[in-house]
Amino acid sequence: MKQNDLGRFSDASFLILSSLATGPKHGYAMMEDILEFSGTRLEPGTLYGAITRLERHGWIEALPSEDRRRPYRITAEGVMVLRKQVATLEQVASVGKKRLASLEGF
Amino acid sequence: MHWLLRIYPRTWRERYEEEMLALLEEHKITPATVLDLLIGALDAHLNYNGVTEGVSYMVNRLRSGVVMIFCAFMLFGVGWSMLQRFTDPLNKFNAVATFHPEFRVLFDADFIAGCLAFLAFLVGGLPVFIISLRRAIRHKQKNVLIPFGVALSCLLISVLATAILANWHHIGYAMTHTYVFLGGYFVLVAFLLVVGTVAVSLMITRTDFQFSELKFVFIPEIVILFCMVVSVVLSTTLIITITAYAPQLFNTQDVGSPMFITGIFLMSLGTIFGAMGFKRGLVYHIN
Repeated sequence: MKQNDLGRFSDASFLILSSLATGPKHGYAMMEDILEFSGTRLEPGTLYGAITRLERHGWIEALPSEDRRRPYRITAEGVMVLRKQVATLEQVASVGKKRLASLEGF
Repeated sequence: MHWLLRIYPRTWRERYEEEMLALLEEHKITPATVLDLLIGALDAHLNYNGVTEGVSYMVNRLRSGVVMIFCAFMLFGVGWSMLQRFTDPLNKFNAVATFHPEFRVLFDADFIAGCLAFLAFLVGGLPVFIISLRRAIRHKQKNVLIPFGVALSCLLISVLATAILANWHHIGYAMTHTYVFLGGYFVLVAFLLVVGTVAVSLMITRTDFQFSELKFVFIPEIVILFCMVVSVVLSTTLIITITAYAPQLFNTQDVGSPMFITGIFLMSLGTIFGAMGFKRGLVYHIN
């Protein structure tokens, strides 16, 4: 996996992969879904910057256009990447919780 | 906002402009949106390579098309193999075929179509498989090597099981429990076929192919699909003519009418799935 070149799009990429994990979506549906589940409002430039990178990596793929909107779906490789990212976040959250617990009393 | 998208690179606009415009029509435009689009345009100029993106997209399409045709051919192959038992016992088939030579013509033509499809499958599929395996060994790609190990194990176990089946008359249990023995064999082989097919599909899906490595599968794909269609037509014609002129064959031969229909159903399903895979890999679909 080459996640380093996602740069400032790594967070957006993670949100997009999470959104597509529930099924194919076009750009606007992804933005709405991401806002709903994470509270993050992605702007179109950021969204498409991340989409181009995810597509280049083969983590998502475009489906045939519906009207003018093109849906995307997560690939098997994308699912693997998302799993790894979720596992890393869970580990970070777990460590964070433990460290916060040790701060109790301050 | 159309004017703002004009500052994106031309190759980027060819690919994303329409869908981006559709999105912007639904999105509330704020100064933050404009700023974000400006940064996005700069990023696209710096990082977006239309050729690379296009090729990557093409490779993904071709690769998934190859996997679909592979799975389709496996499905087709099961149905086709079932129908090949139709001449068993041969003497009874020959007796009827003497009066109805069209049976033999249809059966042989079906056999030839299936063999040609298999040959094209080997010509197109083996290089792709070998490239996948070599690349996985070179890069120590465990997520490809493990499915390869699984596929190889399935092949070896099925060969072993078939060798045991070939000597069934030397096995005491098989002599006394023939149907259980045969049923067990078929269930095992079906299971191994499914697992092996999934494993090889995973190998192909997880390999980073070059476009030049995949584009040559196009002609074998055409041959495979053509032979599959021909074979389905011939098999269907055969079952219709047998039903009309010699229905007793369904009772005397190894392949009864339920098995014949199941075979044609699997072949048809495989052919439809194969056509979908072929359509997926077609270049005119690639932007």
